[in-house]
Amino acid sequence: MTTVKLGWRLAFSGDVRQRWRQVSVVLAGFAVTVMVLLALGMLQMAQESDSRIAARSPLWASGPGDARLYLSTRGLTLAGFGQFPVVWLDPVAGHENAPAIVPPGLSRLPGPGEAVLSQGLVEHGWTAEDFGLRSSTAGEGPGGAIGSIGLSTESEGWIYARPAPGRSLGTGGALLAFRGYPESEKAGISGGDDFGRFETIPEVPRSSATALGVVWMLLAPAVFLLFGGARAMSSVRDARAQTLWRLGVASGRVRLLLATETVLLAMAGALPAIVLWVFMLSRVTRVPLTVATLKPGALSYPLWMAVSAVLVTVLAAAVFATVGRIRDRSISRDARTVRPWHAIPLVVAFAMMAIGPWLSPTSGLRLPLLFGGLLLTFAALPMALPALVAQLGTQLGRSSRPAIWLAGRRLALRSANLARPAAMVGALVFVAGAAFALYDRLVATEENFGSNTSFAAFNVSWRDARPGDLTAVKSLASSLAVLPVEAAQDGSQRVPFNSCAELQRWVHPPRIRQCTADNIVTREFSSYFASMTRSTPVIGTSRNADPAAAFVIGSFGTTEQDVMKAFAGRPAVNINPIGGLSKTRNPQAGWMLAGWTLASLLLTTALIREIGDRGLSSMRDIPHLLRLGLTRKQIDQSYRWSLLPPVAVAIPIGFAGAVFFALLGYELGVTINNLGRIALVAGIASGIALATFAAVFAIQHRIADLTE
Amino acid sequence: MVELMLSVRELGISYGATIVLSGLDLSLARGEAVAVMGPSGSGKSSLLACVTGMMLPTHGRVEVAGHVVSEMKASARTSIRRTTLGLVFQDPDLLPELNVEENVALTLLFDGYRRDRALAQARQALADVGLEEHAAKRTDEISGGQAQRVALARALVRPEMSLLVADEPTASLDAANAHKMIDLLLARTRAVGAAALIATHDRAVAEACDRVLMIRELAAEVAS
Repeated sequence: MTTVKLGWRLAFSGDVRQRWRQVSVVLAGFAVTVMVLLALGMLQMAQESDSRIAARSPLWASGPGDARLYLSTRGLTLAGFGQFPVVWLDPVAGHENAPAIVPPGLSRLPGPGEAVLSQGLVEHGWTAEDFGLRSSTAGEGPGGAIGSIGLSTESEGWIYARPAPGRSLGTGGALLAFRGYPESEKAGISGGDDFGRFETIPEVPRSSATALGVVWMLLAPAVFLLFGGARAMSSVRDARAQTLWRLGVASGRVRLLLATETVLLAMAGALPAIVLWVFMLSRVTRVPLTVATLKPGALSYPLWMAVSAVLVTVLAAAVFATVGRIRDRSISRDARTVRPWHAIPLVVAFAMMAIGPWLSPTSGLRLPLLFGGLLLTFAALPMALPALVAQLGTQLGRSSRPAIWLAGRRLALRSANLARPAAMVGALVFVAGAAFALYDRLVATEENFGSNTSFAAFNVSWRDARPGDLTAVKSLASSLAVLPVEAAQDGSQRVPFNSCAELQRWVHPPRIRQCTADNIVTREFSSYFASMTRSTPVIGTSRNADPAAAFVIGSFGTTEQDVMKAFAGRPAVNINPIGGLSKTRNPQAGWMLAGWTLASLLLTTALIREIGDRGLSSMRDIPHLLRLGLTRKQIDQSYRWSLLPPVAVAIPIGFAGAVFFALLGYELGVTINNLGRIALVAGIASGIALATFAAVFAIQHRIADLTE
Repeated sequence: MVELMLSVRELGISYGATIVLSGLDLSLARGEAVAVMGPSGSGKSSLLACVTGMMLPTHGRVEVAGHVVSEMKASARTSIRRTTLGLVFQDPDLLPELNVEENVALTLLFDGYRRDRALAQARQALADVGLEEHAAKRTDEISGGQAQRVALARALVRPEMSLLVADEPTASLDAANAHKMIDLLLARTRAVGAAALIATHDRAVAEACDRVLMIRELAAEVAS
């Protein structure tokens, strides 16, 4: 009880010298608790999403007699919305009413020619009729939309459709046979070979990617902040520990007192955080920078888990605060805690990343090694930096300039302490470069080779083609040119236009004549058209056209939805845009951006806190050095020389780590390798870090001037 | 004419409405040692802070070796403190990152002395206080008494040093070490032709000095 009382008085002491520590620990307790709770919420959300995806992954039929449902999936891209699957369902005769073939979120199969849309599409104003289908009420969601149980998020796009009456999904080709949907939504979660998966890119990252993201971008920076915050300087606290120790109080009891003080301060931050989480953050359905609308409560989990997470956070703070010395010990002993081998984990991290591309392309270890190296680099940086800084300090300690000499001696012996702000800078730069390399890969889309044309073109195919399909479509789509497609002998595709007039109506490139006077396509136009559409234009009637395919041309701005509507009645319409498209979005890029932002905020906070500690330490040193006769200018110079060289070491290491990750990640297809862009982003992060340094210096200088 | 190393005239120090010192006059000639005594809070440390230029008096004049420090800007006072004054405190205040000789040479190095010359001068100062063989040691490898002698060597390292100001230099030492320390301090001060102003509670230290200035009595007299 005495310990708690003393701890309370120490923690919430009115002494101004305890103020910085109070702010540091409370702020770290708050921020880290929010991050830990958010990390758990994210994992919960991803796991839930994985379960929903598993539930809508049907079980393959083991043989023809086992099939109860035929299925064909198509991807559809809507401008301003993104890409999503259209799943065409065709029950095997005799199994139309089998419950197992009803996808989750539907009460029954949609009727022939009907479709059920996801809530996300409905909220954007789309109806089944917009896609050439009839609306069904088979959905369990509001207004007959697909019920939540069948969706990964509230906002994702998804359509279940049935071929029109009298039509089916045909036979052969990519027709897929299934026994039905798993009874338990967990059944297909492993994603084994027994289950078919027809996702485009889900709006929520998978559990494995989420776990990596939260560890790298939330928990690791949070640990950095908590470690520094829990060890924030306070001369009151130091003096109290010293006094008790001198009075003969056992070290264990002194540590217990210090731990109690830290726990109380951390709790003061953690309690508002848990209240904020329970009553506000866990209920959010939109995460800034992301596009997904989450199901209400998607981030929430049982209260006991939240309380456990908070307790772990607070106890971690107590451990961080009490590890190490409780009494003054010699600087030289302190220096011995930094060893050159402390840089080895960083070397191991780089080696892990480097090994991946050398493994067999079929090896399942390539990405785990790359991302394991990424995490280890991040964790190893603060450990390796003091060892490198100590070496640098030894060199600077040989300088003939006294300010540099003194700084060098300090760096050589106090590198563990003096390198901490720089470690945060290195981490910031590393996160910036590596996260950008991943992010840019996610948002990168292939060049739309026809985006500068005045027309839009599509290759369209469908299943169960019947004679007259093309004619029927032409009659429905007066605003589109629907042309047959022929396979040329060389394997290329030929598109026969009825006449030059038809060709000239749709395609009119500047300064290129389409046809000669003899109604033959010019060589120049043919090249132009081929470069835009990968097809060869010819004039004349079709002789051996593919009955299940068409080449569609529309004016610029024609969308896949327009084409799908025009092909109403054709089952499993597959639309392949080949010109004039808007870019598609990758919904997971937003999560990367959000994580990167949070990591940067946490690391910047940790950086400011570390510089604050250094400032307080220097403010203790300044009177001492002034008494010896050093000028303020000399002291400031030496102070700068003890802080900036570690930063000069940390920035290249962080950048090198990011570049290494980007280059090796590019080999594995997960990052970009544009070093100029990565350097620009890393440079901006370095600039922000240095500006933070300058701002905090200026503030401290002002305070020091006022208090002198 | 007697050469004055310190001349304090009509010195007054106030903290807000609280008057700590008023109308204090004090002169120290070359080779002279004066002990300043008085109870805690009587203004001993404030007097020393004004003499060393670390604070300005509320009124009055402080002159050190011909330099009127009470009228100087902070940077000039710092320069005087580094070049003309030698300072010794209760805590030796050695920088743990530096070894013993580097601690002694610190201000010389910051004044642009060549490193070898500064260190040679430091070793000489250490030899003068009997610590030559400890020059290369770390600060945690010497005793408290030795650390205080290192601080004295640091204060005496400059040949141009004119006034040694010591604030309770023996307070952290045992009687034997305190005795040795004060003998050494006075001997070295006289040897280099400087004066010494020593704030102390230790009557033995005061008795070793040429004169004793009792701050409380002085303040009381002024007040009366």
